[in-house]
Formats: sequence, C-alpha cells, structure tokens
Amino acid sequence: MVRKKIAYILGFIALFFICFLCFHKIFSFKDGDGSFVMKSFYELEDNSVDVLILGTSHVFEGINPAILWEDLGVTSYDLCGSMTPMWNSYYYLEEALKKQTPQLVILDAFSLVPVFEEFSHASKYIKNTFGLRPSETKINAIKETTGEEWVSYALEYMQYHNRYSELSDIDFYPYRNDEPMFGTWLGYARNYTVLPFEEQYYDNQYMCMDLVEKEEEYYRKIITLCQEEEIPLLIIAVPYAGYSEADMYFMNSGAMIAEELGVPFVDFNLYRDVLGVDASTDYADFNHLSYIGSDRFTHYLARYLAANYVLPTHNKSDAKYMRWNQAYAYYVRDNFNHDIRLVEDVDSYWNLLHSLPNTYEIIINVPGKYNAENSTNVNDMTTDSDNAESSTKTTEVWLLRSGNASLLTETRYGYYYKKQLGHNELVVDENVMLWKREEIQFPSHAGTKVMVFDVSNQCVVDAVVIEKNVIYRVTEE
Amino acid sequence: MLFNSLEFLLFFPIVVLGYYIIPKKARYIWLLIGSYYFYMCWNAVYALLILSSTIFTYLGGLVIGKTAVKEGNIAGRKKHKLILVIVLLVNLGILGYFKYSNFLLEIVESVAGLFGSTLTIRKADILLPVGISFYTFQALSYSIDVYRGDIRPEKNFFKYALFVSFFPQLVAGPIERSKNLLSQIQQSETIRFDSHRVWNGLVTMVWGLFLKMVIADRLAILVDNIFDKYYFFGGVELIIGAVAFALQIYCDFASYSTMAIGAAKVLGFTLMENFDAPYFALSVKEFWRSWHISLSTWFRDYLYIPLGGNRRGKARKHLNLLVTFLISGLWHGAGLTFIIWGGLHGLYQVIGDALLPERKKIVKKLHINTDCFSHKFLKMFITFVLVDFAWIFFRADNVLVAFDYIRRIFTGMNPWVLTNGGLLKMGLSGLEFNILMVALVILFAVDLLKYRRKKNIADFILEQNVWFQYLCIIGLIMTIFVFGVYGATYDAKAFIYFQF
Repeated sequence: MVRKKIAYILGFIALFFICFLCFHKIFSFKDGDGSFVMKSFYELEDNSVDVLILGTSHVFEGINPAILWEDLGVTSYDLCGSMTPMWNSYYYLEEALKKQTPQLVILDAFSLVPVFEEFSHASKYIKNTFGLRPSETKINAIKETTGEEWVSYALEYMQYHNRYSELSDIDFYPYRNDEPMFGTWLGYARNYTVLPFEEQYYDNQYMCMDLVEKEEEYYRKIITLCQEEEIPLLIIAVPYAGYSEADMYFMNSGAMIAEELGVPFVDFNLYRDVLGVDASTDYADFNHLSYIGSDRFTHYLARYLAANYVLPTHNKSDAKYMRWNQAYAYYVRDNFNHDIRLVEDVDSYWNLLHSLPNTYEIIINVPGKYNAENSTNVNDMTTDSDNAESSTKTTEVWLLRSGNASLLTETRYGYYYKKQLGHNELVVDENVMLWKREEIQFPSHAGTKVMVFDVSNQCVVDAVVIEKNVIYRVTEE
Repeated sequence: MLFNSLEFLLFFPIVVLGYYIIPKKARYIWLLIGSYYFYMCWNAVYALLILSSTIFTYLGGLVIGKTAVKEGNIAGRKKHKLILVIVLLVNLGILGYFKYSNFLLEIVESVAGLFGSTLTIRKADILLPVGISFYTFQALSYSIDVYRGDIRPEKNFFKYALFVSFFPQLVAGPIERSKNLLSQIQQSETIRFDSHRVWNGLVTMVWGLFLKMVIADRLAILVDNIFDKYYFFGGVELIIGAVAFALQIYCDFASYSTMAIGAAKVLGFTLMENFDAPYFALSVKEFWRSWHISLSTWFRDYLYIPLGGNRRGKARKHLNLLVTFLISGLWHGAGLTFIIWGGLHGLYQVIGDALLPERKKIVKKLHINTDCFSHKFLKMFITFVLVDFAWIFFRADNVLVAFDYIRRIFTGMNPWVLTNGGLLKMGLSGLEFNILMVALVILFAVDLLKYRRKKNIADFILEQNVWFQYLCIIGLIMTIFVFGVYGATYDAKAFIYFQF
C-alpha cells in the first residue's frame, strides 16, 4: 500500500516536472535581443573568448567579432542587449568570468548618457536578465532592475506564461527566427539600413555633466571588477549619428572617472574623421551604425587593438574556434547576398543568378510559355510573361541551379518544389513560397517571379517580380 | 497574504509540515501562530483588533457560561442576557466603527442636505481590517451558542483564539460555527496524517485556484471594463457585463471558500460547504440555500429565527425576511447599493412567497408539467435573471449608476454586436474570450456534477483511475500556469524591443 502511494506520488511529480519543462521550453523568451545572446554565450567553449565586448545596441550593431577574427585572429563576443544599463553589463561581466578568461574587456560607455525617457523603464532592462542561468548573479541582476518585485521576475514563468497569445511554430524550435542574426554573428546584429546624416562636431570638449548615480556606481564597479581580475579594460564610445554636445559632456565625465581609476577611455565620436566615417553611408539611424559603418569601425578597432594590446592569435583551423570561422563565412556570404539584393538591372540580375554556385537555388515562376533550352536571358522570360495575356496562360515553374534551369512539374500534392533544411521547409507553390512557415506572397498578376534561396546560410536572399524589364522586390531586408 | 500569492505558496507547506511534525499537543499553538502571522501579513496592527475581539468574546463566553441559569430564575436570566447584549454590542460596535461610520456620516450629510443644509462632516481615514466581518460574526455565533447552551464555553484561550483566527477561513469564510470548528480544534490532537485526505485537500485547493486565476480574474477584466465605462456600451454588452459579473463574483467568492476548505482538509479539518452550484437554483429561496451558505445560515439561525422566523404569521415572516436581507446587504458593504441588493433579494422572496398560491393555481389550471426539464430550466433562468438583476446594484459604483446601467439595457439594444465583432471590444481579445468560454464550460460541468450527483470535483477525480487523476490534476495545474491571470503587469511587446 505504502509502495503504491509512493509510486503514485513519484509518478505525479515526474509527470508534472515533464509538463512544466515543456511549458518552460515553449513559453520562455527566445528573443535574439537580450535572452538569446546570453544563452548563445553559454554554448561557447570555456576560456575561448579573448575579447569580451560589453555595452548596448551600439556595440551589437557596431562591432563585428567576425571581422576582428579575420583581421586579428582574436576571438571576441558582443555580450549585450539593447538599452543595456551599466548594472546589466556588470552582471553580464560577472557571469561571463565564470566561464571565460578574456584578455581584454571592451566596454561601450553609451549608457552613461541618459538620453531616452524609456531608458529608465525597467521592462526594457529586465529582458537582458532572462538569458542568465539561475545563479546569485542573476538574482542580483534582477533585484537591481526590479527592486521589490524581483521574485516574480526571477520566477520567469510569471512573465512568459502570458505568451500564449503570441506563440508560433518557432517557439517549438530551440531558437527563434532570428537565430542566424545572433547565433552566427556572435552577438552581433547587422543593420542593412542606411540613413544619411550630417556630421556634427563640438568645440567645448572639456565640460562634464553629472552621471546618473546608479549608472556611475556600476560603471565604477565594472572597472574595479576588471582590475581585481587583472583584466585590461578599454572603455570606448562607438560612433553614432545622434552624438550631441550633451552626450559629449556625459562621455567626458566617464572619461574623467576612467582616468581617475587608470583605465583608457576613447570616445570614437571625437575621432570620426580619423576613422574615416562617411555620414552619408555609415549610419543606420540616429543611434546605430549601418553595415558599412560597422565594417569600417570594426576594421579600425582591430587596428587600434593591434597597436595597443598584445592579444593572442589562434590557429584558424583549430576546432575550438569553429564558431568564429563560421561567423566570418556567414559574414562574407551575407554581404554577397546583400549585393544580390542591390541589383536593379534585369540583365545584370539574370547573369548574376546564372553565375551563382549550387549552394543557391533559384525558383522562377513564368506565367506564360518559355523555352528554357539554352536560354540565359531573362528577357526571354519577361517578354513572354509580358505578353502572357495574348500568347498562352500556361504557368511554368523552373529551378535554376548552377546556371542550369530545369522545369518543375506540379506534384500530386499540389506544390511544385519542396526542400527540407533541418527542421525548416521550403515549399514552392504557384504564387506562394513558404519558408520557415512564413509565406512570401507574390502578386498573382503577370510578371516573372523569382526567389533566390541561399542553402548554406539558410535564408531567402531575394524575392522579386520582373515585369516590363523592371525588378520589383517583394521582400525587404 | 492571498491564497494565490507566492507568499502563501511558501507559507502553507511550512505550516503543514510543522503541523504534522511537532508534538500533537502543540498543534493548535502552531496553527495559532501561523494564523496570526497570516493575518499580520496584511496589517500587523489590526492583529490587535482580532486579539481584542477574541479576548472579549472569550471572557464573555466564560461569564455567560458561569451565569447560565436554570429555568424560572428571571433575575439570573436578565443578567445572562445582559452580558450577551454587551458582548454583541461591543463586537458589532467595533465592526460598525470600522465598516459603517463613514457611511453613517454620509447619510447624515445627505439627510441634512434634504433640509437645505450644506453640512460637511470630516470623515475619519479608516482602513477596513481584512476579514473583520467574517471573524466578528464567527465570534458572535460562539457567544450566542454559549448563551443558548448549545455549546460549553471554551476554557482554553489559545484554542478559542485559533477558532476565531483559523487562517484558512479567516479572511473570507466560510463563517464557521463553534459546534463544528471549535470541536475539531479541541480534538486536534487526534487528527492523524491521512494521505488521501491531504491529497483531496490539495486537489480542492487547485480547483479553487483555477476558479480564481483562470475564470474570476479573467472575467474581472471584462466586467471592470464594462461597468467602469458602461455609458460607452449598448444593451447587449451591458447584459453580458451583468452576466459576467454574476459569474465573476461566484468564481471569486467560491474560489476562496474552496481553497479554505481544501487548506483546512490538508490540516485535517472539515469546514462547511459554502457554495453548492447556486446558479442551478430553481428559486431565489433555493439560491440562498446554495450561495454563501455559511452566511445565509448564520443570518437564519441568529437573526431570522430570533426575529420570529415564519412562526408569527405571514406578514411578520415577510417583514423578518426583508429585515434579514437588508442587514445581509449591509453586511456585504457599507453603501446604499448593497442595501438595495439585499432588499431586492428580500423582496423577491416576499413576492415569491405571497404569490405562491396563485402560481400553484396557474400551474394547475394550465396543466403545466412541473417535472420536466423545460419547466425547471425556465425556473432556473428566471431565478438567474432576478439574481443577476440584483447583482447590478452590488457591482455599480453608486445607485445612480446602477439605475442608468439598467435603463441603458432597455433603451440601447444593439444585437448587431453579436455578429459584427463588437463583443471583442469589451476588454477581452478573441483568444481570451475563447479561453474564458472553455473554462466556463468546465465550471458548468463541475457544478452540474455537484448539483446532480452531490459530488465535489476532488472526490470525483480521486475515485477515477490513476491516468485520469493525473490528467485532470496536472491539466488543471498547467492550465493555471499558462492561462491564469497573474504576474507583474507588463506589455509582452516591451520585452521584444528591437529597433534598428
């Protein structure tokens, strides 16, 4: 009888535990910004990071670890989330040092500038603690952010259980849709938006403004922690378009404290001309660098580090550093894909598609008769499709791979083409292409529809409609 | 400390563990300490109030017990009665001061206003002590029971103090009788750990949490939205708001009682049932036999019957009914809306009783089959409409709002909202609405089980096969985890901030 009761209780506990685990896996936050960056950091091999970079979105949109790897052979990681205050960075550092022994810590000082009203909003910060593993550090980080309500945030389910209204298939996979953004970039996020700005320079470079007390406290604590751990610390300010005179005064205050504590502080906003920042191309918005600016700044930073620090260089074929090799390969490929999206001329576009290697698959939907035999000119397609109304209304779907086009026939299931990549599926219908269960809906009227899929980076590179020799893009970056 | 709080999630296991570990003789002391701690979590100072009430009624009970007199001793009986009156007056005085003094001053101002006076009386800033209405009535029932000789006065102060402050039912009932709870406390040393009973109690508590967190708190969003801005809504939405409030107050109130009964069961105590599928009642009279049973029986035993009950003719019976329900309304809250609510219930019963012969005649004349579903359903429906109508007064901020709310139901009919998506503008999204509907279907099934088979959900689940037990219990817990309304208020989107 007693055994039966014990078995009953144990069975109940086990089943409940399994259910709760599933609940946690499905419902927990998986955002690239905040939670995933830290989770991804834990997956790195112990003691594999040479340069740990802390800060706000200025860092994760400004410093690309893949470039530092290529230029210097050093391993780095952007351990930050958007709107990260100094106390989040402090606890990130504390947590990071449990697994890593960086040779250098770089801290972006932007959070010393109290620019946004939202910046004082706890919910913006708390997300940065969700990725931390349960520990005293995590509890302290939450306490510092939420005060008396910390328990309900420490028990994260009290926050994420509400997500039932926004669950999607991606919640049932390990990571979210933006996995490559953070997973492959080592904390970095590439911003392809380009907004032209006018560069501003200010004269009075010696004035200071009082820092927010709590920011200053943790700013000092980061410096002290690095000194205690005997890790060199470099405090910087990544350039940004919205750098104002007031911002400069706050940075000056940060610089004074750094000087007082014997730590180098470089506000790169003051050296934009030295960096060669081009205000017409290098900014994505008021606060962030564009992909062009980010590349420029990271290359400069690499040179700066090479000139001022002795950092280890690694054998790039060492399996321990595979993640950095992957990141660089991904970076190169992503740049190339971006270039594909910039092509506006139909002939050039068609030639480019024919020259792509077999790691690209191009689906072409021609709403009219098209003879692909030996054809390398998209005009054949577009001409036909433009005249589809008058000639024939037969729709043809083609697969172009390594320059060779093959006609796809409608399967008895109704689709033309299907490809399984991991747990994701690429499905091509007559007017719809489905990737990661998200539809790329083409307009159903005349025009040749083209979708370029990158098998190695596993992403839709481009989706266009070509009509009357003009390319209309269906997807946006 | 609410039952659905994290604090209680820590507090309760500690109390239960301690209760079964410490020597049996000290159990009531342990529970007393736990109960006072529980109460002091709201307001430590007000623990002094419950302590004073306890001391006073305890001493009163002893004195009443000592002055118990034999029949025929008129002087002794007068003294006996006088002591009871003093105990009642002091306790009701404390309750009156905290709950009704500002209300009385408002009435004085209003009456003065009728005579053209602009009198304004400064109101005291009084914070109503949690559960004062409940424990005062519980203590009073003890004093009256001792006076009547139904029970012997409790000599052990700590046991009596535990009776008054027993934490599972301290703040929201059920209002226990000394004959039931005090006798169990006296025998607490004999309570043995019974895993089946403990498990049953825990399952009962889970069901209570489901009622509160999944249904009541979700309905509250809808109800608050409609009642707070009732002037933005048409008749259909206002009817839905009133129906939703009927369900909300039931789930809210019943959840507390259910959790109290479950918690007490875990500790080996049996509290009285407080709700018995009230909306299945076929008359208002029957409704009051299944709604807040501990209070309605309290009023029946200690007010209605002493007033004469139905023993002094029809007119007196009706008067007694009206008085009882008016006071019941006042017990629920210090406001005219509560008095009207109580008055309506009294009136329903008076009219129902007065028209009973006529109704019977009609039924006979029209050969209406009273033993079929349609007749019962009609009665059930009419009862619900009457009860729900009264709930409008209970929920409305003031009497004017209540009347305007009712007026708008009849003058602003807008049935098109049933089909044009207007229902989703009442405060709940489509998904939330669907969750609510499913939860209400479960509630309906459970209440039907109780109504038809007189069986509690915990008893029903625990007599099933193991797989079904697991399915129900874990299903309920996970439903609470996922769909419960809890956690710090935040906008989920605020966490998904990513702005390039």
